[in-house]
Amino acid sequence: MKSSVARWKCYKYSDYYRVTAQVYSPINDTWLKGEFLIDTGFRGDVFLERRFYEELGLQLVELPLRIIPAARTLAGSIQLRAALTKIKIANLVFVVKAYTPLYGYGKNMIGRGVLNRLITLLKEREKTCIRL
Amino acid sequence: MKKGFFIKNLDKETYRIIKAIAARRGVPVYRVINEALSLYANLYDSLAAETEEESNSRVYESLLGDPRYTGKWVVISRGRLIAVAETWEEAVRYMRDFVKRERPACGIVVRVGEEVERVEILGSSLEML
Repeated sequence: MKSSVARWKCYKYSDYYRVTAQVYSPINDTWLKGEFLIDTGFRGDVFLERRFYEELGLQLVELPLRIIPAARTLAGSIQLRAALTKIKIANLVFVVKAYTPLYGYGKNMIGRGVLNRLITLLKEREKTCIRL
Repeated sequence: MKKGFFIKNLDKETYRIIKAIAARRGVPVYRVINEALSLYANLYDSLAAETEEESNSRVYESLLGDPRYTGKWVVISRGRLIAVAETWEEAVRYMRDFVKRERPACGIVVRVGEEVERVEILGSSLEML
């Protein structure tokens, strides 16, 4: 008999709501682990630190620069690079567009493009849980 | 007999195109190659100013509107079209092989005609909870 109890994978809160996720490196056919902020103000799938983006080799499977519109931010527009890849959060795998800034360092964040595909529970300043 | 050169590793596909142009014009192949070489030599400085990423993007733009590529996955690197595939996974496999052989600095894997939505990064409202 199947259990109807919901199963959750939880991550500790530390200054921000965070989750640990793995991003797929298409060139190396491997997954690299990283810690991601949950950012509901980010309309997009995944934003990566530039160093992480390059470690994954995503600059080799990028989308053409000319088709990537500049991102709107509170401080003005920034030019992005983007590549198609996959992200694994709590054993759930999604195909995503991963972005990083063309100039600057960037940050590891998960945006609404991924959050809208998950059931996420936030326990105030304690933990972030993803329903499996 | 005039002296000639033997050049290894010429791109077969490009050579075929040059040969077809020569046939259409009714001139020998060497004449078209000579013209192409002079043109490249004259344009070299302006071409060199283009980065590899820009030349990859330019190649991608040249495929837009061509019905042979619309909706297909293309692999572009070193300023040339490397492969055409039906799926992203297949295109990535082509790029993986190309990277092993030629170690490029950057490359493009994209479905021709794909559009990217505008991204917004406006600060997280969750932190106000």
